[in-house]
Amino acid sequence: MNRYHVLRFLVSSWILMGALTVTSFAEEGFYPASSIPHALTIGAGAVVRLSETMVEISSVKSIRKGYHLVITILHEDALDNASVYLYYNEFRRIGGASGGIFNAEGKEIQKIRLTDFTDRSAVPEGTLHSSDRVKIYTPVYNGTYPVTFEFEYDIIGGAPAHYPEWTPQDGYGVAIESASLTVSAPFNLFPRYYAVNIVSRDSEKIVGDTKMVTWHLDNLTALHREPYAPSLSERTPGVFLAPVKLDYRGFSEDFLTWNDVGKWINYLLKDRDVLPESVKYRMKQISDQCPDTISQIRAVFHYLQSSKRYVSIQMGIGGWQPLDATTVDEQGYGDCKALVNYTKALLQGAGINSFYTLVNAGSRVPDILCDFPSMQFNHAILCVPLSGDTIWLECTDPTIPFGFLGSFTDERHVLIVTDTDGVIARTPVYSCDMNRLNRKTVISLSFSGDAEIEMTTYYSGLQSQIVYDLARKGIEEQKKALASRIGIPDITIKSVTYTCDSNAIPIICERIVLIARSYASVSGERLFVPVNRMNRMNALTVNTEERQAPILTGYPYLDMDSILVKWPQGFHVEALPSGDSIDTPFGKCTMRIVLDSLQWIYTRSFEQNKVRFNVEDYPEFRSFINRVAKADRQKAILRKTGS
Amino acid sequence: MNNLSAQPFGRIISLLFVTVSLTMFGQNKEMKFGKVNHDELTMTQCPIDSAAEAVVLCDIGQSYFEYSDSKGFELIFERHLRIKILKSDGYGWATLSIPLYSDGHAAEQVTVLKGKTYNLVNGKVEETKLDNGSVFEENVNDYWKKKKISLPGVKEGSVFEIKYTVKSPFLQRIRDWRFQFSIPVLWSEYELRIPEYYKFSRNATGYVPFVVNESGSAPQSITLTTSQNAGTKYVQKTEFQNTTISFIEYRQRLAAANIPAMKEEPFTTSVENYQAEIEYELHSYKYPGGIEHNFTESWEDVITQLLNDEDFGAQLKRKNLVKKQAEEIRNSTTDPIQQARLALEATRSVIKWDGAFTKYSDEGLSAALSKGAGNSADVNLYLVLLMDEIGLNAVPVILSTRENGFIQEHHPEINGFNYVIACVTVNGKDYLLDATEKFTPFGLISYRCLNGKGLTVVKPGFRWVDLSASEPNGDLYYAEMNLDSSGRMSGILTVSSAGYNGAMVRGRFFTEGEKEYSRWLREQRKNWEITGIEFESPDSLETPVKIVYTLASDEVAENQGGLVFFNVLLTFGQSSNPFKKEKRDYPVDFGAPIKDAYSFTYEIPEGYQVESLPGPIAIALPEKAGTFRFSASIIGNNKIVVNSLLDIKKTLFVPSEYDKLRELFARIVEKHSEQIVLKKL
Repeated sequence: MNRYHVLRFLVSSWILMGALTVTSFAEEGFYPASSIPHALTIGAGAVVRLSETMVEISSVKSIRKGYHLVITILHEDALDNASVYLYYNEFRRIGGASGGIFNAEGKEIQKIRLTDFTDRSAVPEGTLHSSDRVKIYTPVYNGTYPVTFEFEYDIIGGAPAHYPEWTPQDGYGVAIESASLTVSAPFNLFPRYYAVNIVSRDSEKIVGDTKMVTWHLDNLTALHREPYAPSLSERTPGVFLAPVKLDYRGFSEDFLTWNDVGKWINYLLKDRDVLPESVKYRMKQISDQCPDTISQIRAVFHYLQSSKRYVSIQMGIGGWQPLDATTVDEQGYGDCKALVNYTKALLQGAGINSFYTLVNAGSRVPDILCDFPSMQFNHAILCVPLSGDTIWLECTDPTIPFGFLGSFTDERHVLIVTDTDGVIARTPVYSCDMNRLNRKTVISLSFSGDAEIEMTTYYSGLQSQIVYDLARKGIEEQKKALASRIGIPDITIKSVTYTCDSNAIPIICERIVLIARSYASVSGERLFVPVNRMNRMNALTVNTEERQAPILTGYPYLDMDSILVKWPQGFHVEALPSGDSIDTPFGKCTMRIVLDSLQWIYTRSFEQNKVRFNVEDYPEFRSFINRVAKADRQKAILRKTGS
Repeated sequence: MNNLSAQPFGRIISLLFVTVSLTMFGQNKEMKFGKVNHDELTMTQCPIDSAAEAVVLCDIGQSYFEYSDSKGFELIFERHLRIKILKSDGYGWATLSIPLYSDGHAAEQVTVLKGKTYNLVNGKVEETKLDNGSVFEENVNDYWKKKKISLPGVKEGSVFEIKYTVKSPFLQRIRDWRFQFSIPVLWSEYELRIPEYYKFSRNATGYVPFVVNESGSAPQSITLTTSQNAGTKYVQKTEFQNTTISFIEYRQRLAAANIPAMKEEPFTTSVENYQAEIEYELHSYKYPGGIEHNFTESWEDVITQLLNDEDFGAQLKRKNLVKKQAEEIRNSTTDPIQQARLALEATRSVIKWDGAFTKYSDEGLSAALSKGAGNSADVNLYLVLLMDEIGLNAVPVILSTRENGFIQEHHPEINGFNYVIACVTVNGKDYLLDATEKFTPFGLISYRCLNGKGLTVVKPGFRWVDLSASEPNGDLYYAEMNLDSSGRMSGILTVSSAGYNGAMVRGRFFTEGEKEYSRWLREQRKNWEITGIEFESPDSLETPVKIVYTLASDEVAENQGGLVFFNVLLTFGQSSNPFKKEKRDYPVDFGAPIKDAYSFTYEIPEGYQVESLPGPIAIALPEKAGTFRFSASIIGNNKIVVNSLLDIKKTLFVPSEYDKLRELFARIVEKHSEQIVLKKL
C-alpha cells in the first residue's frame, strides 16, 4: 500500500488491456510537497497531486466507479478539501475505502480506514424524506503543513440513466497536478461523452469487445472567486457521460437522443396523472366559469397555489419519479415533480393540454449541453402551449405570479416531455426593459443635516425578486431588513407599504417614509449632502492580481432614479457635482443635476445588458464600474448664507 | 416586556418537589383531539402578532412514569400540538420531526401518533387525516432517529393538530419543554408526574411569565404481578400473585399564555438564553427498601461526580502521559508564569482541538494524544494535568459557553456545563487558560467562554471564578497620510489588533497563509491602491499584531468648487450603527470590553489651508460604562491630527440601557462621517 498505488479493481482491466503500469515512488517519499511545481501553489490552498477516476461498465445495468485521490493541503484553512463524502442509497453502494496521511516529506503518519468515516443520513435540511445516506471522512490533523492525504474508494452502481460526471477541479483555490478519467465498457455499451474546456481525449484502446478511453489533464492552476465571473463549472474542464441504453424494470430502450430521454421520463410519469373524479369535475366547473383559455389556466393555477404546498421528498427511482396525482391531492403536498405532474393532471381535467418540463434551475448556472442528451436537470416546471404564446408555470411557489418564472428558470434550454418523447425548448428571456427599477425620492433637509425622506420605488420583472420576499414579511421584519438595505447609518422608518401587481411581468411598488439622522454631515458652516445614497454602484477593487475569469454580468436591467433635495432657507449651494454621461459596451449611465431655488433634482439612469467579455477587457470594465461608483459617492455642499 | 426586562437572567425555580401539598389544579385549557374551535378556523391573523406566518394555538405536554411487569417503570411523554397556518410562508411548520434517542440497546419509541388537518371550505369543516404515507423515519446517526411528519392538506388558513406518545426506557431523560418558538404561542403547558422514587430538579429560563405554576401530590399505586408454576405433572397451571405497592406521585404543572415569537438580535450570547423553556435533571432516586442514589444536589455533588468520572477526574490521574513534557518545562525555567506559558504552548502542539465542545474527554487523554486531536475537555484536561505535574497550582474550571446558556449559581446541576478550561493560580492571581484556540494570548480564554462564572473542580474548596476577558478587544488605527494638490491621498496605515481581534488576525494569517490573507485584505479596501502589506509580530501572541499598509487613493478626497474635502477618518471609521433596531428585548452582551482607537495625521498640500474641521466631542455612558472622545486639530501650518477613542468597559447592557448605548454608537457614526474641508488659497 505504501509504495505501490494501483487501484485494486483496476488491475484486472489494465492487465486485460496489457497496459499495467506500476507507479513507483522509489526512496523519495510519497508525493513529497517539495515536488509540487511552484506555479501550482500560487493562490492555492490545496493541490490535487493525482486524481484517477475509473468508470467500468460491464453491462447495461452494472457500473463501477473507482477513485484514487492524492491531495496535498498547503494551509490549515484548506483542510476541508481533504474531506470525502461517499453517498449511497438503494442504487449505489460503497465497495470499499481506505487511505493514508503523509507528512511533507511523504512519510506515512497515519492510515485511513472506512471505519474512520462517519455514517449518517444524507437527507438535507428541509427535506421530508429521501433514502440517501452518506459516509463522511472529516480530516483531523494537528501537525505542520503541507500535508498529503490519499484516498482510494469504489462506488458500485448508480441510479438508472445517470452516469457520473468528471470535474476534477471542483473548488476555488485548488490546483491540479495530474488528473485522469478512464472509461471502459463493451463496445456496444460505451457511454456517450461530452468534454468541456478540454481539448481532446488522450488515448483509446480496444481489446476484444471492450473499449477504453482516457482523458488526462495536468498542471491546472488554482482559480479564485471574482466578481462578474461565470460559475466555476463553466470555466473548469469536465467530461460528462451518458448511457446509450437503459434497462430498468421492463423499460429497455436506447438512450441516445432527447426523444429517448423524453421516453424515459414518460415511463416514470406513466399513469401518475390520474385524479379522483371529484377533482376532475371541479376542474371542469372551474373551466366552465372562465371565458377563455388563459383565464382557465390561471384559475387552475390559483387552485393549485391555494390548496397544495411544496415539501421536498427525494424518493422514487433516485428521486426522478413523482408522487402520483391522487396522492398529492390527498396529502396536499408534493415536491416539484409531483406538483408539476399534479398541475398537468388538473389542467387535463379542465381540458387543457400541458407538458411536464425538466430544467436545470438556479440563478447563475450554465445552460445545459443541448447537443448531449442526458439527465442534466434538477427541477421541473410546467409548459402550457397556447396558439399565441406559451405559458410557463412554476408550481412550487404558492405566491409566484401566474406565468412568471423568475431568474431561477428563465432564459435557458429545457426538456419538454410530450406524450411520446422529448423536445428541447427555451424558457422566456426577461429583457432590460422588463427588469426595471423606477424610484422617486424626495428629501427634505433640516438645518442640522437630518432629513425626512419619502421614497417610492417600482420594481418590475426580475428586479421584483429583490423585494419579493420582503413584501410578504411583517412590518417589524421589513423595518429591520430595510435598515440594513438602505445604506444610511441612522434611520427611523416611519412607514413601509408594498403593493404587488402579479402579472407575468410582476411589478412591486414599495413606499417608504423615513427619518435619517445626519443624512448630510455638518462641518462648521457647511452641510455635505450626498447626491445619491439610494442606489450606489459597488466599486471593484484595483488590488487583485491578474484577473482570471472572463466578464459575465447578471441579468439585464434598467434603473431610473430621481432624487429631489429640498433645504431650508438660510443655506445656499456652494458646490454641486456636475453631471456625467458614460456610454460603454458594458453599460450606460447618465447623471444630471438641475438646480432650482431651495432645491435640486438629481436624475440617474443606469442600464446594464447581460454581456460577456474577454478577460482582457476587464480593466476597462472595472474603470467603467468604478467611474459610476465614484460619481455615486459625490457630495454637494450647502453653506449657511451670510457666513 | 418592560417590567420583566430588568431581570437580566432567566427565572429560577429550584427543587419543587421538596414540599408536599395538595393543591387544586386551576386554569385548564381544554383541547380535545378532533374538535377544533370555529374561531380557530376563521382566524385570519394572530391576535398577538399581526405579522405572524403561523401561530401555535395550543401546545400541551405531559411526562409521567408508567409501570409494567415486563419493563418496570417507563417514561411516557405525550404531546398534543395545534397550529394555525396564516400565510404560505408558514407552511414549514406543517412538517415536524420527533427526535428519538437510542443507546444501542434500548430506544425511545413513538407508540401513538395521530394528526389531522382542518380547512374551512364554503363554511364547512373539511378534515384530512394523517396517514402513514406522510410519516417517515430517518436514522440520523447511531444515537438519534427522527420521525418526520408532514401534515396533509395544509393551506393558508388551515388548522392542524398532532398528538403523539413517546415511550422511553431512559428514565433520566425527561423531555425539556419549550414554551417559545419563532412564531407566537397562545397557550403552552407542561405537566410532570413523578413517583416519589425519583427526584428531579427543574430549571426554567426566559422572560415569559407562567399563568399556571402549580405543584402537588397524590397517592398512587401499582400492581406487581408475579407468577409461579402451580401445576401438577399432568396439568400445566400458572398461578399469578398480585402485590400492590402504594407510593406518592408528585405533580407539577406550568402554563404560559400569549407568548411572543423569539427574534434574533446582534450581540446576544444566544437567543436560547432568553427563550422560555424548562429543563429537568434527575438528581436522585431511591426504590422502596433500597438506598438513595444521588446525582447532583449540591455543587459538592457535582464536583464529586466529575472527579469520579472516568472521562473527567480519572483522566487527571494519567500522570505518566505528561511526565516527560513536565520535566522538560521544569528544567527550562523556574518561573511559574513562564512554566504555565510553556505548558499552554506544549498542549496546543500535542493535541489539536477538533471543534467539539464538551466537559468530558472523548476516548481518554491517551487516545487524544495518539490521534493528535481531541475535544475541548481532552485539550484542557491535558493542560491541567501537565501544569499539575510541573508543580503548579492548576485546577479545571467547568463552564457553559455563550451559545449554551447561563449557569445558575443557586441551582446545582451538572448538565448545564458544556466546557472545561484550566485555571492556574500564581501568587494569589488566577490565570484562566484555554488551549483550544491557538492564537489567543496567555490568560485570555476563548470568546465562547465569556459567559458569567465558571466552577473550579477541586475538593475541598471549590469556588466560582469570573469568566471575563483579561484584556479589551479592539483595534488601533494609526495613519500618516499625505494629500497632494491633485487630490491624491497616500501614506501608511497601521492597524494594530489586540485581544480577540488579534487572535482572529493571527488565525487567518496562519491558517490561510500570508499570501491569501493579504489578497483578501486588499480586496476589502476597495477604494485604495495598496502597494504593500506587511505583518508585524504575527507569532508573538503577547503583543498586538500589526498590519502595515502602504496605500494611496484618488477616490477618497473630493474636489468641488475650489474646496477639497474628505472624510475625517477616510474610509476607516465606524460607518454604521450595529444597533439598528429602535427597541431591544434582550441584553446586549459584548463578552469583552471594547477599545477602538484612531490616530490620524494628514499633511496638506502647499497652497491650501484648513477651512473647517469637525469639532471635538466627549460622551460618557452612565456609571463610567463607556466613553467616546474625539478631536481634530491643526498642528503647525500644514498638519492635521485626528484622534478618536471608544472605550467600553462594561460588557453586559440590559434592555433598559439599550437606548443610551445605541445613541452612543449613533454619535460615533455621526462624528466619523464628518468632513475635513480645505480651501485653495
